[in-house]
Amino acid sequence: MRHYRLFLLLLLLAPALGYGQRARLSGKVSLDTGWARKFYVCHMPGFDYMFTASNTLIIAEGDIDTAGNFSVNFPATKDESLYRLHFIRKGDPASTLIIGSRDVNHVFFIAKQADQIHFEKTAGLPISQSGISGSKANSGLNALLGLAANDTTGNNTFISIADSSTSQLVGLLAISRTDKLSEGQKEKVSDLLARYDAHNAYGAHILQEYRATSYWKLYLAGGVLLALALSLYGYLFYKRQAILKIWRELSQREMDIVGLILSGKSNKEVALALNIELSTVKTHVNNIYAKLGVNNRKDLDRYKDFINPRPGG
Amino acid sequence: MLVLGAVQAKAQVIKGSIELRDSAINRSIPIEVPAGAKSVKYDVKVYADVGEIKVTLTEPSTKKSFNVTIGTKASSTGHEPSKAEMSDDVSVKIPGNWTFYIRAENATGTISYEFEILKP
Repeated sequence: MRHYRLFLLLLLLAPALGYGQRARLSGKVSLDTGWARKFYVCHMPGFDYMFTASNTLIIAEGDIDTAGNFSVNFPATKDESLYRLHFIRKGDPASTLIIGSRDVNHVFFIAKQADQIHFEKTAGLPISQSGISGSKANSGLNALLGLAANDTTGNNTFISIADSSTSQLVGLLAISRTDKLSEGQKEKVSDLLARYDAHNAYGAHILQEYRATSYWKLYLAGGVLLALALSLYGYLFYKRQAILKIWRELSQREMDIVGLILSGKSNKEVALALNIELSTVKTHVNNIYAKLGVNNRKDLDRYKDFINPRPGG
Repeated sequence: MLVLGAVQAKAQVIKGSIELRDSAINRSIPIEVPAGAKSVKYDVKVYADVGEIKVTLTEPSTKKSFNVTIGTKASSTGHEPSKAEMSDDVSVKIPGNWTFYIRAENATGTISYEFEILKP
């Protein structure tokens, strides 16, 4: 009995639960007799599809009543998506797109799950200039599309819209309308995109492009660092080779004396260690200084790496 | 099979039609807009019974006046056709070469176009 009640409750709530996955579009339109009393809603999976006419994009359709009213529930995503509402003239295929003339037959809108969008065509105005309400994003979209249709709208305006829009979809669409950006503008756009959801389907292409730009900068920075590191290594290597070349001009006895001096022994201690006269040590030391181009014992430090430890040394 | 009938009546008007029968096409039609031209008026109609057809009109500034794709969907009764109509009168800001691109693959349908270059 308890399961039966639960089942009944779920059955009653099913439409409401199902609506949660959908959005609703209603509207009022006045069309002359040349138009069919049908409307269609297309889902635009990306900005590239905005001017694609294909039945595969149609996700909902319905009839317009004699008073011009229509409504439909259509499948919507959790996040904002772009849709296109269009009407057709009598005899035209369902998937018909009319662009540029006063007979423009479509209008774009943004919706997400549970949104209630309303369309109203003002008599005398083209469909594309009709009002779409029900979501804050749509006022931004309408303003953007109006500016995009104007040739004089520049990159800074689009970037400014992207910066101020609370809708990522509007922001991404604004960025997609930019062209031939300066380096400064590119940086601004990169900063904006860093705030956006990296998984936004509408931004995939744009984000990829700007990440590629960032990667290019990283590769360049890495290349410069690598070149600097290699240059430094080369410099140190050749410096060492030059010192080694000078070191090899010493006789074995002179090398032994340098080793003893670097171990902290005085000339007298060197003489004792090598069992030679102090004057001989002094002669060797003078010869060593002359060959190595040094003036004192401290300068011999740079040759310490070449000293081979000798037994008893 | 491809049937092409392009007519250039005067330097100011370029018009033609292309009929596609399960055809592939990749064509660019240059439209030379001389200095002093006031506007370019165009009327392009594309209809696809089968397959996909893409038409693009680019201005000298590389801006696209339109970039439209129409595609069809197979159904139990054959294919559901698609149609697009583009028409406008665009003022000429930069004279030079406009280009009308047509691309189609395994498409059956028709493309008709007319470009009129208006002088003051």
